[in-house]
Amino acid sequence: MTPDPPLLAVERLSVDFPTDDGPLHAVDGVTFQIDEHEVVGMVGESGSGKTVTALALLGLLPRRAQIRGSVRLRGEELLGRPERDLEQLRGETVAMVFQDALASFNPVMSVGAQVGETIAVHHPEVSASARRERVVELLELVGIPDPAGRADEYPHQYSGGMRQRAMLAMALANDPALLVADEPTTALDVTLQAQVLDVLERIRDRTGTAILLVTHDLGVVAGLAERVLVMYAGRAVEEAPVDDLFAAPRHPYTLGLLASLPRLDRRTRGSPLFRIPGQPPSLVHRPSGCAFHPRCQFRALPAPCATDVPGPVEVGAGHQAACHRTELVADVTPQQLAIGTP
Amino acid sequence: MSAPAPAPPTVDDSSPRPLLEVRDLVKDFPVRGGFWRRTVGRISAVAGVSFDVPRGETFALVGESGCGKSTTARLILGLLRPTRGTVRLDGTDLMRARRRDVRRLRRRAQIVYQDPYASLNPRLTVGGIVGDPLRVHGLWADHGPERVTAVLEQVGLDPSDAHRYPHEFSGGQRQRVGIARAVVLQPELLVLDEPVSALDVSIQAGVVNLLDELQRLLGLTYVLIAHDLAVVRHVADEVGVMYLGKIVERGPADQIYEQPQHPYTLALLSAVPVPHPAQERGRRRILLAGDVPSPADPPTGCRFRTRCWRAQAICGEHEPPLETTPVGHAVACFFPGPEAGAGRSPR
Repeated sequence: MTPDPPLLAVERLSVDFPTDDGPLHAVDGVTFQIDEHEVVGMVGESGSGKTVTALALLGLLPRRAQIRGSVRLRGEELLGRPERDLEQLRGETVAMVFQDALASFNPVMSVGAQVGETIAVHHPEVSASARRERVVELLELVGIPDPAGRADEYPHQYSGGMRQRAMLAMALANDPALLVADEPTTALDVTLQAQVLDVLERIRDRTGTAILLVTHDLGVVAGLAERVLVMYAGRAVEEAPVDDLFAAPRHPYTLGLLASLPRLDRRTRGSPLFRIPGQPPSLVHRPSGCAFHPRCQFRALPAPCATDVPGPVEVGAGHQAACHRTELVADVTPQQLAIGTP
Repeated sequence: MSAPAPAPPTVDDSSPRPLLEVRDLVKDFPVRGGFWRRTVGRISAVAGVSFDVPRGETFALVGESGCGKSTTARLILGLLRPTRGTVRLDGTDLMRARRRDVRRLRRRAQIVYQDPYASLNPRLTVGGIVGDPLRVHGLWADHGPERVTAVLEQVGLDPSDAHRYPHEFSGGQRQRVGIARAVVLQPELLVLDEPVSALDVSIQAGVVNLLDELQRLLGLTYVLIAHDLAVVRHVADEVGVMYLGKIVERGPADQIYEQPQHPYTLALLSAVPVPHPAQERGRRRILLAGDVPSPADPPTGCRFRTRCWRAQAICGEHEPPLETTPVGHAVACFFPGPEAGAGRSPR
């Protein structure tokens, strides 16, 4: 008997966008998987390919995008499926929340009716009373007090935090197997962020929904994710269990990123922050070999770093780094790098 | 430290006069409505803010959208006229200065904007952008080109880039152009309005370090407006936490971060995700109920009381003054203290 396939298996996913200067390699050969109930963080800066990857999984890329590779949900290939199948899938097996989804509430419909509608679209057989019950249960799950009473209120009667919660209730309406959250906390004030993180924790702890958390915020990933994938210039450069990634990163980019973060809990005034030199690369004219090599302090030039694209190297249990020099990175911790370097 | 009246200028070497003195600053904006666009109400964006910034130090104003920190920044620069209160730069009140002195005073205080994409004129070369303030102030004839070259070098750009346009640069480099433009007039005070929040994480550290370096090198005084509390901790000497137009807690940065006393400060600090998995998993965030009330109709008494788990009757009756607590910094709360409270506030 073959074991059950993972919830989501992405293999050698590539996405190119044609531009006047040639193809833009937004995603290049990304491979990862998400198991049932698992919370995976995907971190990267703008242009790292994290959002394009998320959109590709959901079949939401514009037509001009050239997509290659494979995306299988519980063993079934999604790439190339007709739009009608994908629509069915979205909101049922896979749900998504985006950073600007707040505006998606209809102001003249009660919050409960809107959450209920999401259920009705996919499950017309569910009776009105069962639907109502489910709506109240969902609002309770996301932490809305007096859910039965609040279900009849309109979006404008909700506070900002409550609206964020209701939006997540809507995404969970059909008990999806996977929730894709793209920058769910970006652009929100800190106290609103706290509300969103609280709901995501509730979802992780109380439902079986797996979460793909796409974000640039390493703090958000630290608290929520079990496993983390780090993206740079369209490629996955490191993947590790969350504790290993933060304590002992094995890709120079991850190491540099962690070392360069100012800390809320330390007195560092007066000493310079560690700084990754240079700028993120252009995705049209990407550096040869390892895309990070022009900014890397561990590089060996020209070969192999500027000549060969590094493949993933197994450096620990469930821990991979796409780096030719990863054994050198093992000797340095972010803390060492963070203190007193120019 | 609760905002004494500005002392008369005295010559006293032991405590030199702060470069910037902000006293009881108030800014109301009229709310207009109806057919005649009459004033039907007032939004108090800044409702009595006071602080000093000693020469060479960094004062950070933190708070969430709508708290009044950006309006305060604009009042400091004289870009807005205060409804009440004073802003003194090196002892001179900008609003009462004689007209011919105003331009000279303005030169001494400059601003760095948040978005290096929107704040640079795309039709000017980098050299043109950085040289523009010199032209505006009639200083171009006095070694303008050399001055531009020197400043570009100072901010870590290649002077040969002077003929290139902003779109040819990355975000981090553009922010350096913005900083060069701000320091070219050799100001004493820089208002930094979210200087790194539009930048990618790997770029932020370089700009933060540059600001630190320039401060040391040029003796600059900074007013930093920021919402990233980790960046603020690294950069600021003093911090003022703003809520709905008022400073609710003010003091040395390390004290504010290590011994916060105001419930709002506690909530803010508890909410920032920290890049440390074990710490982050074990942490209890304080979740505030409701929204920030409208500045057109703020609560009586303490403005934070509608979301506060410590609120008592007195909080609605009187406004808590910003007073120094036993901990040693100023807090505007009748019940200051470090506890998050048995009640995380009701959701």
